[in-house]
Amino acid sequence: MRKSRIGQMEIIGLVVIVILLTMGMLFMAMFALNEEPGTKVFTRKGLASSTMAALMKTTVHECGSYSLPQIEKHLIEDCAVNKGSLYYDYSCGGKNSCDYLEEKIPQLLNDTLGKWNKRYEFQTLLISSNQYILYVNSSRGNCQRRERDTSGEYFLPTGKGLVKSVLYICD
Amino acid sequence: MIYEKFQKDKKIKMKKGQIRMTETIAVLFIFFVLILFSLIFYYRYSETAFKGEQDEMFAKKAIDLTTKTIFLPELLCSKGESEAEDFCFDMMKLRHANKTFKSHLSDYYFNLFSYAKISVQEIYPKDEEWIVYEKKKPNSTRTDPTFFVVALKDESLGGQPSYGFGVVNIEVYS
Repeated sequence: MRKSRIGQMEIIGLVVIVILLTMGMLFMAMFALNEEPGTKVFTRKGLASSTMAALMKTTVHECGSYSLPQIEKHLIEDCAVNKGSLYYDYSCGGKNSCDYLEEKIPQLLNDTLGKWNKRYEFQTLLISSNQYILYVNSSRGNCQRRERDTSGEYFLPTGKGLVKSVLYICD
Repeated sequence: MIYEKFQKDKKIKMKKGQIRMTETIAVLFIFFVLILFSLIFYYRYSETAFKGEQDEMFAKKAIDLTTKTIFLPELLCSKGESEAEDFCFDMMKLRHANKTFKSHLSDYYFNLFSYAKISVQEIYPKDEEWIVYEKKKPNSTRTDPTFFVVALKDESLGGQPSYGFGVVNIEVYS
C-alpha cells in the first residue's frame, strides 16, 4: 500500500515535469511565431508608395525629341485606349506605348526592387472590362498568397473608361 | 546466531539506504539539470530579446532618417507656395546639396542626421550618383541601408520638366 502510494507520487512528479516542459515549449513557440516585423512592414509600405509615385511620374526620353510623355499620364492612357489597334499616339524606341511599357516597367522595377530581393506585382487594368492592360511580376514570382504591401491605387480616366494601376511588394 | 541475523539485517538496511541515497542524488541531479536548462534558455531568450530591441531601435532610426530626408525642403520638388510633390527630388537642388550640407554640417545637419550617409542614384534616364550627406562614425560596427525610390525632377532642360527615376540610399552607422 505504502509502496504503491510512493509510486503514484513519483508518477505525479513526472507528469508535472512533462506539463512544465510542454508549457515551456508552447511559450517558446508563441514567442517565435508572434514576432511581428513591424518596422520592416512600414518600410515595405513606404517603398511601395514611393516606387509607384516615382514610376507613374517618370518621363520617357525615347519618344521623339520634342515630347516627354509621362508613364501614367500619357503612355498608360495611350496603351489603354489603343491596345489591339494599329494606331498609337506615341512611338517610343520604335515600339508602341504598350510594347514599350511592357519592356520599360519590368526594367525599372528590376533595377530597384529586384536588386533588393523584393517580390513585386504591377498591375494596370481597365475597370469596365476587368482586363489587364499591363501585368508585370518579379522574376522570383508574384505576391499572391503572401503578406504584401500595396502602393495604393492610381486611377486614370481614359477614353475607354477608368484605368486602375497598383503595385504590390512582398518579401 | 542472533548476532549473525543482526548483521544481515544491518547489511540489508544499509543497502536500502544506499539505494535511497542514489535515488535522491539522481532526483537532485535531474532537478539541477532542469534548472540549468531553464537558466540557459532564459539567458538565450534575454540575449535575443536585447538584440531584437537593438535592431528595432536601429531600424526606427533608419526610418526616422528616411522620413526626414524625403521631406527635406533642401531637396523636395516645390514650386512657390503650392504644395510640394510627394517622393520627388529637385535636380537643381540636388546638384548643389552636397556643398550646402558640407558647409553647415557641424552647426545644423549633424544634429539632424547624426552618423549616416545619404546618397541619391539616378537609374533612368542617366546613371549618376550624388552623395548628399556623409558623416562616418569612428569604429562603426555595422550599417543598415534603407532604400526609397524617388522621381528626379529636372527643369534645367527647358520646356516641360523631365522626371527621372532614382533611388535614395540611406545608411545609418551604429
